[in-house]
Amino acid sequence: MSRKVNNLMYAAGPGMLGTIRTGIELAEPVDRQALEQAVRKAAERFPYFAVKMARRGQEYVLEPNGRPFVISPEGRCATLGTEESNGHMFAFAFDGNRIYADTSHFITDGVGKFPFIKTVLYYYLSAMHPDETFDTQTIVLAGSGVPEAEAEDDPYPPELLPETPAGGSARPEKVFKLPDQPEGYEHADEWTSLVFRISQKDMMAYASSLDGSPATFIASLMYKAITECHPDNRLPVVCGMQHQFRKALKKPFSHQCHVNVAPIVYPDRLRNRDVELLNTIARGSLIIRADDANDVLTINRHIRNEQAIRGMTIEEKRGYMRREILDGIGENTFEVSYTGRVPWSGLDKYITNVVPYFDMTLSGGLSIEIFSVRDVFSVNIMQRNGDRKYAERFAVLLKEFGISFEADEAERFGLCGFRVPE
Amino acid sequence: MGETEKKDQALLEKTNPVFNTAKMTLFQMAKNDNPNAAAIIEKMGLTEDTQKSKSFSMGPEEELTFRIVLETRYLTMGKLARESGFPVHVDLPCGYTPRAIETAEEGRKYIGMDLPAVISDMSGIIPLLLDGKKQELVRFCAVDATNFQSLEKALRDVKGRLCINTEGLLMYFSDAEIHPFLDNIKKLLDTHGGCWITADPEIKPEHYRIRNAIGSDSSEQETRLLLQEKADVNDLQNAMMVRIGHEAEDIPRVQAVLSEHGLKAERIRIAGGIAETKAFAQLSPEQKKAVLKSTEDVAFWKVVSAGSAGNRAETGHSFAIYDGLNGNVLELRVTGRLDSLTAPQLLEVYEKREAAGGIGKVRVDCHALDYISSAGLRVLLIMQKKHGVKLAAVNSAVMEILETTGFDSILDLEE
Repeated sequence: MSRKVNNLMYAAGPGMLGTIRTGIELAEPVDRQALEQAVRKAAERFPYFAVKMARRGQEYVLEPNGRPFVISPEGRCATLGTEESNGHMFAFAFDGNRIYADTSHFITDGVGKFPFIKTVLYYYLSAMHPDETFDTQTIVLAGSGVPEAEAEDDPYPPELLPETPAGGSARPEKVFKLPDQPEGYEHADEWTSLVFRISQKDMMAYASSLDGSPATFIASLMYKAITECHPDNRLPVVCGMQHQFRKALKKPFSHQCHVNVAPIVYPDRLRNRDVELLNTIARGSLIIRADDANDVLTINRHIRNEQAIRGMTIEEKRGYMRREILDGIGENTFEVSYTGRVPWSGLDKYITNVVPYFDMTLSGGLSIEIFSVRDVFSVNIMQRNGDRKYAERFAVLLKEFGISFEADEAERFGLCGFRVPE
Repeated sequence: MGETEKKDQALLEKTNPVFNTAKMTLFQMAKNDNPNAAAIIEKMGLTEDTQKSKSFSMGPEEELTFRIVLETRYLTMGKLARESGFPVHVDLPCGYTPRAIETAEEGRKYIGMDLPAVISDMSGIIPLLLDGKKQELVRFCAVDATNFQSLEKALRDVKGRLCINTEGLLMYFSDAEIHPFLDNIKKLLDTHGGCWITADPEIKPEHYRIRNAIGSDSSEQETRLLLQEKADVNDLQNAMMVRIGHEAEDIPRVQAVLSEHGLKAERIRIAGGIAETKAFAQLSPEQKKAVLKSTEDVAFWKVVSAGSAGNRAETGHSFAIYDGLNGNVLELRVTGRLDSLTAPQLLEVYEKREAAGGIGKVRVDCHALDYISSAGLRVLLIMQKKHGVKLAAVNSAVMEILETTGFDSILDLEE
């Protein structure tokens, strides 16, 4: 039986891959055979990810895909939706101590895919360490039922929700764009990741004393770093802060992508202001812009898009949804995303780091992904070139705030291609 | 000035020739088109002949460097003081600058502190340049910054948190003086709340970098010698000073020194301020670019007490909530800081009133609300969604937060 695709999927294709990769660094080298078995076992519990996309007239649909998920050596990205990935839109890879999970933001988001990755890790680590006992209360095991609330392919209401916007959603007409970041995929081979492993204790001691969360504190520091690298700029700097709107949708377990981007606008007058104020601005902006009442506007936008593309050809749908996605993300100078603290159920004993990567063409040119493992925040600063000036300035600021960290070697990263059926 | 007073003044200047540097500063500010500086020069009857600063024998490049440094420090310090939101501006040392006039014109309280000779001059002249009401905002006090009793006496009846500004002081202290001085700053911040902003720790790297960017190919050693030669008083290397070329090791050292005294610092980079100076406008495009590049890491230091409540000294207004029902309007008055420590108390008051019923609207008197953090904003949003919130008498610091976060677009702001 086929499943309905999220209308975001019509935007996928060359020029907008939207692919995401999660790198999980283990304390020991990855065993391919154990990983294959773990993926196979875990996949039984997540049938909504074991699918292939097919074209039916002027629509895409998702159909069950009985072929195994591909597991590529040397960290190689399989092109999703092709023979290389066995038609899947989910793929795995490994390299040394790392396991990579690749998929598309048009299918799911960090919150949606995490249970699957966790289940894979559970089966993998259980096989590698048979004497170890993990807390399975928060791990979804193969054989357990798949709730409809998690699996449903159309979690949106059929009719528009009543709108009572909380306000505060205005964006500046002109936004400062980093002048040194290449556009599009032309220089995708230069995309660079700089990972900082920051002491949670140090950072939260500072951030919580300022009513801050890790995401807004990191955003404030990066804002300072950018303004210091560009003293001549007078345009507002905008941080696109990712947040999920499952709560407003009342679908907390939905596996689909429910990410929204809330702009935090730093006008030039905030240059040189103290981090407490910057943090208040970031948190305050987020409170209002990520409020459920504003998220309802995003939900209604999805419903309106659904109604608008009905009857369009595939080509028309593609163009329409691309414009909608770009408009929804808006113009940002940089982005910050934080998945939040996740329950590792003891698996983190064997995990040294988790680093998410994503498609930089949908970003302002510099994106920060924050992940939490044990007592460390992994802060991945991604840029479209190898110039380290923003990360270096960010590191100087961390030092000045007395926050201890370790910086990994800079790394070039690539993401999977994604092909939709013709 | 009578003959006896002139003699006393001459004696004071002899015992501390830093007055000459302070007067030179005034002339440089007048050259940068500051009309208040020119007015003070006129009232003091100063001419270039009557002042004796050694720095008047500078070449054009050196003079331009001095003017950029001076103007940047002056403007940036004023901006940071305004932006601090703290109502009392303490200028330590005040020197002969027109800061008192500008602060009073903005409606903020100003306390100029310096050695007796300067205070004697300034307390006579500044009131002549201000109208009656503005005069009440200004006070000059003779102090010794290493003597706490003199500082305490100067601030005894002052209400409101302080923004203490220091430029042109720390370099004249020995280590034996700097530590008591830092203890005094800590005590003042713990007693009154607020912050201390100083431009001094990085003055030498700043000066050196600007001078070299403008075109001088002098070595670090030559610049050091020049700064020394042109100073009216020998400056000293102490625990708070960052050395030219040693920034990487000295900045953490200065932070550690502050930490030992119960203080915590944030470096505020000033390159943007340099670009706004009139002296900077006289540079060629290449020089401008070079100056901005070379000074991108130079900073002022904003210091707060590392005491309770998350490194904040909070005694401007004590936190308090007053509530009462006026018809169906819940009248709230919130004073002090509304943050993660205090916002739950406001929510509790509101929820109790809400449970009792009869609320149609909420009005919050903010005239003594010093700061609102995101936790406070969240409580406002909760009340707004249920009853609608009107905010009255919002000060500029809180208004800036409301405007920048977008809360001004959803809350009703009373004129």
